[in-house]
Amino acid sequence: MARRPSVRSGQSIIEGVIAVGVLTTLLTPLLLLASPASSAGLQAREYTIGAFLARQGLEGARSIGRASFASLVNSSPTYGLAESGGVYAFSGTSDTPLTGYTRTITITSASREGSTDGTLCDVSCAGSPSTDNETKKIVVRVAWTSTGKSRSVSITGYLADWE
Amino acid sequence: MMSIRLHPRLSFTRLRPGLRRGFTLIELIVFVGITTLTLIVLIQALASMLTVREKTKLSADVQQSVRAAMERIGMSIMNATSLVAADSDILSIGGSPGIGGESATAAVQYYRCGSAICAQEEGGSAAALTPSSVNVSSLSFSNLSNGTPGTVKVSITATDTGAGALKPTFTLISSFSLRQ
Repeated sequence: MARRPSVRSGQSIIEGVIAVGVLTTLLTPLLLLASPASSAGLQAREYTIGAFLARQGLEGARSIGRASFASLVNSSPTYGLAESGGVYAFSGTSDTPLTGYTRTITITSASREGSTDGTLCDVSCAGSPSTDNETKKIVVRVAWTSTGKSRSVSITGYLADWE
Repeated sequence: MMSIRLHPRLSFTRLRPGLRRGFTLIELIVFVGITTLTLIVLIQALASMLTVREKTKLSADVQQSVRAAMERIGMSIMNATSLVAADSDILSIGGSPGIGGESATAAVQYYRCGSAICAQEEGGSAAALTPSSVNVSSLSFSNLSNGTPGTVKVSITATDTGAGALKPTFTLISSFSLRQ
């Protein structure tokens, strides 16, 4: 008895294209995950470099102030840091410790709540704050550009004239 | 809708009574072409992702090693009693007597030993601060003390020693001062 060939319909080209499209749609988000992960790694690297450069700026400013507190003149608007004669010194309004990283140091007299013996107040001071010229607030900001966006890290320290 | 009609010899499946037509040669070529292009794009994206992943991992390894070494050196400087020497490639600092409940620390030297950063306490043997997978190509110290206490600038540059072509380099610069 002769078998009759089974009658089965094949897939159309449209079905095939749709299948490939669905596959692509499912795989694309997985591949796109790589981009943020890479970006996060790059940012962590840049912030680490920036934070250590800011630390260097703060230590440099403190070194200058410890040698001569009078050297910590309020900045207008900022200082750069340089090495001169084997010691740290202020130079210009900014410096570039590493390619792509710009550092600025801002020095102002510290604010204290009430009298000049009051508590240091950084962001918001209760009542009428006093300006303490014997304590300097040092803000070091390191800025750089990453993938077209400006990024920065800042650290703040204080140095008092104990003498 | 316009359809392409091929000569029966070009078709994989000849139309017989009771059978439906399967793929034509043109359809098959178009389908294989689209699938191939899609797979090429996906494979390239996957290869790129793997490269980025490997680079990120290597970079993170170098970064962690250099950062840990820098923090260790920084803590030693801040806790030291004196700055003995900070030449270009060796840092020698006095120990801490352990004031105020802190543990006493011995005098220590930091220098580059081969491709690593080594720490050697007084009377002890040298110990590597960085793993063998990291090649420290530069370690320098500058004594920028402006009076006392001392201030030291530390600079470290390192590269991953991975066998692949990816060898991310990482440079860290900072300064530390003796606390007393």
